[in-house]
Amino acid sequence: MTLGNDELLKEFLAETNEQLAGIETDLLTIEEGGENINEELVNKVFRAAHSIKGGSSLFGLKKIQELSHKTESVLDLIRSRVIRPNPEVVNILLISFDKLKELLNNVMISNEMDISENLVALTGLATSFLPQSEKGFFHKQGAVKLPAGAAVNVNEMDLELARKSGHYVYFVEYDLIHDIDMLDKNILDVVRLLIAFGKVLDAQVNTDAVGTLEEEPSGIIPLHVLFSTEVGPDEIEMVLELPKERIKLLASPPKDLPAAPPPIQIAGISPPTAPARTEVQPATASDKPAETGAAATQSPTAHPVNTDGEKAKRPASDQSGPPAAAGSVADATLRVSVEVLETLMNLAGELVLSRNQLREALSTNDMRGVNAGSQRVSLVTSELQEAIMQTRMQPIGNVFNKFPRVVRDMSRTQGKEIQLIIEGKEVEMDKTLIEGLNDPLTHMIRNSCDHGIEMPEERIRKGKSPTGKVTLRAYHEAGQVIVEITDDGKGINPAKISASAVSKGLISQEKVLGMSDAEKTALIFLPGLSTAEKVSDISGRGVGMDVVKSNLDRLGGKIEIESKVDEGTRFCIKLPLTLAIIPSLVVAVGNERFAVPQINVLELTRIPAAQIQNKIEIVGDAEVLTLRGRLIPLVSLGRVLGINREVVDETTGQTLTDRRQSLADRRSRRSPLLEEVAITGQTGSEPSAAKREADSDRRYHAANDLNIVIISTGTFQYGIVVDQFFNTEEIVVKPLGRHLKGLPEYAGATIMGDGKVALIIDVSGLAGKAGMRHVSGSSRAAVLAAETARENRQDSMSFLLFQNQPGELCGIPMEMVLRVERIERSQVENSAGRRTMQYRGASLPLITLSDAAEVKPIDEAQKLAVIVSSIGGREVGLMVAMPVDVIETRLQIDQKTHRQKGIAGSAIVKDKTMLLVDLVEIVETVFPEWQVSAGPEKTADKAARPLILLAEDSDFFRGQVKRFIESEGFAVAEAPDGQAAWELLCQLGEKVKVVVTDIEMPRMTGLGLARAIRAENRFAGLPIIGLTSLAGEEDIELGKAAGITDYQIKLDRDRLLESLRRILPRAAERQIEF
Amino acid sequence: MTSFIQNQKGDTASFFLKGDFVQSNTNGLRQALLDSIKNGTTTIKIDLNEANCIDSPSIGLLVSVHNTLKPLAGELIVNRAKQPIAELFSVLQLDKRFKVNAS
Amino acid sequence: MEENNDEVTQSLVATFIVDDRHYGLTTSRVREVVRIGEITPVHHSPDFILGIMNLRGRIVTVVDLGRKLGLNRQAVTGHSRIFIAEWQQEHVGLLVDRVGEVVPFDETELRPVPENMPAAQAGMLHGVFHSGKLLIGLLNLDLILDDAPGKEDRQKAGGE
Repeated sequence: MTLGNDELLKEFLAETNEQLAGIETDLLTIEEGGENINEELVNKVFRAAHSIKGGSSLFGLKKIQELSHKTESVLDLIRSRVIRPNPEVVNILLISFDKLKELLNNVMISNEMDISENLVALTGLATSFLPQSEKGFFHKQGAVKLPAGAAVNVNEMDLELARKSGHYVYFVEYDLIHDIDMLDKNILDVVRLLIAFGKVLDAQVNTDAVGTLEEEPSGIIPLHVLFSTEVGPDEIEMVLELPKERIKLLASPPKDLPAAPPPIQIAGISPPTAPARTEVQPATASDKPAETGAAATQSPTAHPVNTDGEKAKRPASDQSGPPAAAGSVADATLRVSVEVLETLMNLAGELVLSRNQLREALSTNDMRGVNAGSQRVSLVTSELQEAIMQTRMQPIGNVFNKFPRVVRDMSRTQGKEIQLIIEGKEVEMDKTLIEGLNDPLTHMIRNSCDHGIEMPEERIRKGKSPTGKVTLRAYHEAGQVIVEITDDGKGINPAKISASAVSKGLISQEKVLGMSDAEKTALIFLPGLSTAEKVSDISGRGVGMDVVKSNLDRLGGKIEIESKVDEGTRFCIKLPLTLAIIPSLVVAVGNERFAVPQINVLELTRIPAAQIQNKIEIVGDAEVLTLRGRLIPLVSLGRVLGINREVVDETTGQTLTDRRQSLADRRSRRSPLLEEVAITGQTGSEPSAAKREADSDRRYHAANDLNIVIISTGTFQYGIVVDQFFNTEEIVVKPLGRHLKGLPEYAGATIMGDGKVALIIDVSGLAGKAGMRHVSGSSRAAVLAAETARENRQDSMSFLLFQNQPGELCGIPMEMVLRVERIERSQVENSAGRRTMQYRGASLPLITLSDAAEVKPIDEAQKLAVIVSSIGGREVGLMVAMPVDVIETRLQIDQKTHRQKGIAGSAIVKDKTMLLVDLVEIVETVFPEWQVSAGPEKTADKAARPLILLAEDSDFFRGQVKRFIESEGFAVAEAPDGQAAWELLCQLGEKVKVVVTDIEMPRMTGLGLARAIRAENRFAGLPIIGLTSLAGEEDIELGKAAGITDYQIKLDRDRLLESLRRILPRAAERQIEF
Repeated sequence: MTSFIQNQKGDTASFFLKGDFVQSNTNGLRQALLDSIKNGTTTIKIDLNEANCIDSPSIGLLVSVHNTLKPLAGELIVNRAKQPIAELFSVLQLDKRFKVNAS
Repeated sequence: MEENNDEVTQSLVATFIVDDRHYGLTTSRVREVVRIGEITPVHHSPDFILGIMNLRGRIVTVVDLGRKLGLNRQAVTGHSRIFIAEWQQEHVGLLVDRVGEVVPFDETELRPVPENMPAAQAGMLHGVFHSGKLLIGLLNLDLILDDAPGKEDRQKAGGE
């Protein structure tokens, strides 16, 4: 069999490939439609068969031609509603197209292949539905009755077909000279016009009417055309631009036919509106104009009208499965959108420009030019890479599309009812990934249908709907493509799996005992495991999920399984998005470099050595970072990978191997690298904790700051501790070899600018390796937070530290401090037993601890400072001795031991006792007339005072706040935690006018309390004021979301009272009455 | 100025068209063809490699050549016809009358 | 699988030295031989893998052949080289101590592995043959690079 032009054949095959790609889906949709025939779809399928028929005849592919012809005829009968597309009919069609595909895949030997079965089936279909009289048509060929002298020949079948498709058939007489040339038209255009509006059944130039060379050039060149079109007789003149006499109507469609299908186009001479698609073939250099298919033939090959013309991209339709055997011309081509091609051309142009730039700069030794040029080259190269990768991107729908058929067939064969839902078929992936997914997905879908979904009776018995649901879903997440296969079938029984694994000797009984159900289910990926008693021919072949897994491994993908007995199973496949270039953060541990994909990086943070103790906690056996109120688990990259790092001992200058066990060890006293900073009574001001990091003090080493990359894996967050950060770079992802591919902590490798190799970290894999469970970050953080909260009930607070007597450490909450001023003794004025000083243009009253408390007054020799605070709306200065310092800490406040007037309590700060100064009490003592906490409480009826519910777990703070509030004339009901507060509130009911609550409390937090309150109708409108030492935006948002009306910093007395007053105006009024 | 180049080899005459196969471009072609046949040429080859379009009179010309050669048992061959033109010949079934080699 | 050797018995073998012993690989599987450049360690990789290297833009896994064969590996010297071999559609590097000559090899000359060779090593050879005075162990590349799980244990078990 001579195939003549190989190029054309290749093109033909590529095109038929594409047409056949969607055929199954279309046929299934047609079947679903049943009586409501989707005209467009039927026509589409019809045209595919038609075009194959035409093209195959050109190449002498007889069997293909015959089969497609018969298929086309049946389709025509469907579209003219002679045959209904019931499942039986559609089945035969499906099988026919399958056969056609087979023939086309083995094109070289197709003429020897046997298609008799299909022919019989098709003919049977066709003829059984035809009325007797028409049964002969399939075989007849004859001339139609035409006007005398007409030379055209027509196949009766074609005529019938045309009629049945709602076309009119005309006999048109052109005179090439008069009708075309003289009217300044071109014969090519005329032919194009005909093709645009219909089908040329036959055309003949009446050569006899044209004379010989010797004679005068003929003034007439008759052209007879037999033309089928949907254009009706009343418009045909206008369309053809010919007078009526030249057009003869030969046949009309039957009256009852609905609107005719859209016109069929002839390959080669295509109307200008067809969307441009360019075929890129690797072997040949020739470029063909758009849409040239196989050369036009007697029976014109048809192209489907591209309805989604706007979407310029059309994916290559790779036939699923391995490349066809002996007889095929393989799929080595790719369809590329013209858009992308233009981008590529532009970029190529840019590259040339940049290269020229570089060349020039080099020749003139222009270093700046060289830099600029090479930068440009870099940029363009990146873009070029990306654009090229784009050409390989295909929608995953290409793979998904075959599954409706698979599911349909399987459900029929097994007698089950299965519905397949597909989501996300437009998700794009690299070509090789798509091809690689084919087998695993097919296997899993088959599994779901075969072993997953139960028989309808069984499903009903279980209380499920008889129709099983299989969902195939694709979506993007955190730089990956996720493909999920879910079924609502009988699920996987972990016990059964583990038992099978044990009995097959794949795993020991002891190991199984220690496994969770999820882990047992995951055993399904072990090679050699298959619980099906017999290998059913449907999903069989003896392959198992282990093959699926290894297939996916090879692609760089991962698979997880979730299953519940009788509820269903879900497989989750995760694949890298592209194989090529990703921006990544480069980090170093020791002198080894690693790349972390930028898409996983949330932020970078550095904890100065001095703050490590504050920010890093050890909870259980995990190290955790406090970041803006959240707890982030930490992982040391060096430790997980087992890299021995070196550390410089700054006292000896020696390089040691870092043997620290934990990050928080940096604060251990054993480490020579960081000494604790004790508060000393030395002269000169002690740098505050905040300023320490800035000093290049011998006590700490900048290199021991912690560099942390905060990572998101898509499901949870954690931080990776590294030695150094470098820049973010675009790196080319190179796959690791087989021996290394399986290592979960690496996603590949890359070649850095200096030619060295760096491994790319897989953030999920690393987390797994570090022992983090698949608990979502926030819930893990919550667990840790709860643990922490249980341990430390006290909130962290800032205190201003000062001294009274040397060695007598005192402190005041920072919230109460407005300013601190250093003063000279001479500034203190004494009058009438009261001390004041001139301050900002006014007289500032001064007090000192010894005014109220039984302590010695400040030593004369000491330097003085004044802590300015606002009490009861008035500014007052507390005189203290230097030095003054600030600490941030959690304190256990002892309210008993040192309690006295002016001293609220004490706490241990760095092994020393700190006296907590009660400023309000001192003021009350010194200036009783200010009536700071005086109030109507003495005379008023307690019951009439508005009741405020105060929830606060710290006795100290609760006491303080209670006093503030009572001093305003409110009554306070107190509770030591959220739960108690809630119970109390329920008891007191409407009597409570405002709730003031701490946030961090045991049993039920302030947020929990707020939510509980908001959930109850009777407390609607109850104002809730939150007191907190954490007032980041996040926390405020959280609070508002929970229902908190107003947020206050603790111990900002004035503001709290102001807020209360605002909220309870009537209370204020009542006060005035008294 | 000629819009074609003529070449003779035995009894085969080849005409290479410079440009489109349209009447305005083919002055003298008709005469040249006729003369050639009168001089004994029985095979006429017309090369359309440089023709991007064709008009009706030119089609008529081709048909005339064919009609002239047929009784002489001669042959008309159209060579290197570019796609739209080759396909036109195909649709009009002119390639059934004389040989058309597509480009 | 030595593809060419089925039909043609004559072929070429590239020889080299690991731990003072001579081995060889059929040249059809050897792409090239390169000097040792920078090898990046891959933590947590199997211990017979030295790491990965950059070969003109490709990432090549470098295998410590001596380790795989259960031999003492000499320290890396100026004579050490890496054989780049083709395996399962990728390139893998094999570290050797010194490169030998390319010798002709006739399949019919192949003898079974001598009794006194440790089983682990024996398992990785096709056999031995003489080239001049030298006895060359013909390596079975696929067995050496086999990455199926359990194979290592089986190999080790065989060795003990």
